[in-house]
Amino acid sequence: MSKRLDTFLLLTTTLFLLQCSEAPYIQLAANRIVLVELFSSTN
Amino acid sequence: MIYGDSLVVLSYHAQDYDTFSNPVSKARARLYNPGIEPSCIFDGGSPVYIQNPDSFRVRYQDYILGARAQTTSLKMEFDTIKTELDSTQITIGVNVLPTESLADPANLRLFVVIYEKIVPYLSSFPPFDTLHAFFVVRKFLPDTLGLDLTFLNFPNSFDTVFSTQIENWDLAQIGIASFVQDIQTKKVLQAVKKEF
Repeated sequence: MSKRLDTFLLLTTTLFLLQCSEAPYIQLAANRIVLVELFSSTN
Repeated sequence: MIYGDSLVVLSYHAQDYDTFSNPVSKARARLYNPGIEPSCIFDGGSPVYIQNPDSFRVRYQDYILGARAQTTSLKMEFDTIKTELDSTQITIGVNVLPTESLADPANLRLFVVIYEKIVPYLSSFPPFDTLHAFFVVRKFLPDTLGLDLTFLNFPNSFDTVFSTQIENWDLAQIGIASFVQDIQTKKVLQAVKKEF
């Protein structure tokens, strides 16, 4: 994978997760909360 | 597509050359062996790699929805009275409540995580811009092995308090998370987060 693509994927992934995590709260039936663990590198 | 507080995001930087590399990230990398980066792990499942930028959003949504569809036997919350942050110390009270009998609590571990939501850093490549990393994990409490919850079972809840010194962190960006994980299957049963 090229460095440029790698950086782009990290950026888009992070922004997507940031957007998801900041959205308004929705009460789920079992109050189910999902853990997303992201492995990435800065350079 | 709204997940809100039903999503806890943690970011690990396990490579030696990484600005934010730390023992916690390396320990989690040893647990999952994620390989290609960036990769995401949803509720302790297999690492998910997206190499086509056009497909990542749909695939991630599928994984999030799939994880949310799983039922759980645990409720978790931070104790609002015991959980405090000041300029030198952070204290975190956690409550874990089984909502039904647990099939196999022998391998359950409780983890508490301190992270910074946004951290600036200087790119090492031209034009050496200031970039930002998100959800940067700083510390695990009590440690990366977690607190043994073997004794946990319905209908008894479990309360505990952790405390640690503030290190070189931006107080305005500190968040805390906690989750319960089966260390054999790696499955995460429940999680919770709070930002100050």
